[in-house]
Amino acid sequence: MLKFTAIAFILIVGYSCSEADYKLTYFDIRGRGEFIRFIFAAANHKFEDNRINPADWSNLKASTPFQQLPTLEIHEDSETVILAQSKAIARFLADRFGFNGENEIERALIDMYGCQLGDLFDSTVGKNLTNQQFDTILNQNFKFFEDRLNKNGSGFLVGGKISWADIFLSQMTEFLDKYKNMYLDKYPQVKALDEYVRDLPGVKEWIQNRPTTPF
Amino acid sequence: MVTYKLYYFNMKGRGELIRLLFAASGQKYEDFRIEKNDWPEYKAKSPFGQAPYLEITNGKKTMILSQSVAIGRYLARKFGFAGKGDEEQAMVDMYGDQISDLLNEFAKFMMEQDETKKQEIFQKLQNEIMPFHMKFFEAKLAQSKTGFFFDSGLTWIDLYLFNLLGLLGDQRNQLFEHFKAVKNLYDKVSEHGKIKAYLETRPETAM
Repeated sequence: MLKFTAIAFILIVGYSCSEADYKLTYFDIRGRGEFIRFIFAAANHKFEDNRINPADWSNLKASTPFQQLPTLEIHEDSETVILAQSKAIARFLADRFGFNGENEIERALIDMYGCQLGDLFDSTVGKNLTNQQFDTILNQNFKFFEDRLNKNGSGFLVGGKISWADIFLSQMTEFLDKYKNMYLDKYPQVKALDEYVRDLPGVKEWIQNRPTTPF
Repeated sequence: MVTYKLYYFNMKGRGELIRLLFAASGQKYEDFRIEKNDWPEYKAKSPFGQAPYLEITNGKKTMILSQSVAIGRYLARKFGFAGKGDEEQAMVDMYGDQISDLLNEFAKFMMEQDETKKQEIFQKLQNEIMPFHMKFFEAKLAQSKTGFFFDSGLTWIDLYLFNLLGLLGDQRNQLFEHFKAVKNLYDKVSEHGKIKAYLETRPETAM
């Protein structure tokens, strides 16, 4: 009887411990924030999608770690932590949602691909490059990813399951706009991965319902 | 037994964070420095056609990691320099990525060939970009009980910022006048037992 009560107590206490609440703050664009939204979507985890007006940004700036967005507020056990830097946010959520590999080595490889994608974003998105320059960088990078997907053989960049690097890669193909098919047709493994990510129930629903923004 | 071989040029640049991590941990590794002329051969072996990259051999299995900070994070976790607990590790990560942003700005300056543009970038770096980023690091370091970014002790970002400051050469003295906690960090890392020994014996390179 005592044992049953003890177990019941533990179950009740365990059940009432609150899970974390997440608030992602970013502008009303896809930009650097969208792949984090995709991570929440892929995990089917709710979050507050706080989109701010450029007009309100100057007031908000001082309360952010580095006066930049996106930021993620993590409310848990009556404490709040504010994280900046999109990849640091992604890594943290990936750890929580199971998108960060099965072991340290996989985690490091995923990190490596995530960093490479970050570099790709930094060097191309919103940059004033010639078509030739865009083409060179894009093809170079897609080739890396295609080769890796072929070598790894599972359909994902690392190990046997989806990681935040796969999600990041898929989301970034959106920036190709009308050239997306033109590029992805040359890289069938990347194309297949992109389709897989967009077909995940949570992501599919997110894409259907998210605000439409030019960028 | 795991063995490590680091491939990078004979400079500090983006490879030194990794060398500092090995030094701080006492873990032996092969510090292979690529001659400029030999680069094409090694470029072909690297995951993204870039250096540094780290070859990790465990028995018969070899893995190659690139992206200096991904390597840094991996070794930091292995050697206990990643921060304590999920939330602290995420904060360490956050500062690490911010330091990367600053390093990338500095790299733009280093890579600019046009003298006029180079001057412009330098002015912007010195007057705006450096102070902007240092302000955040100063604020965090000033709160520290240990003089490192986090009270739990030395983490990879202390080494990362230390290296960046090293790349500035004598310019860092000007920075130190306004950012005392940053200077304190630089001195603390320099004095850290194993790092001090490494600094005394490492090859002298301009960058």
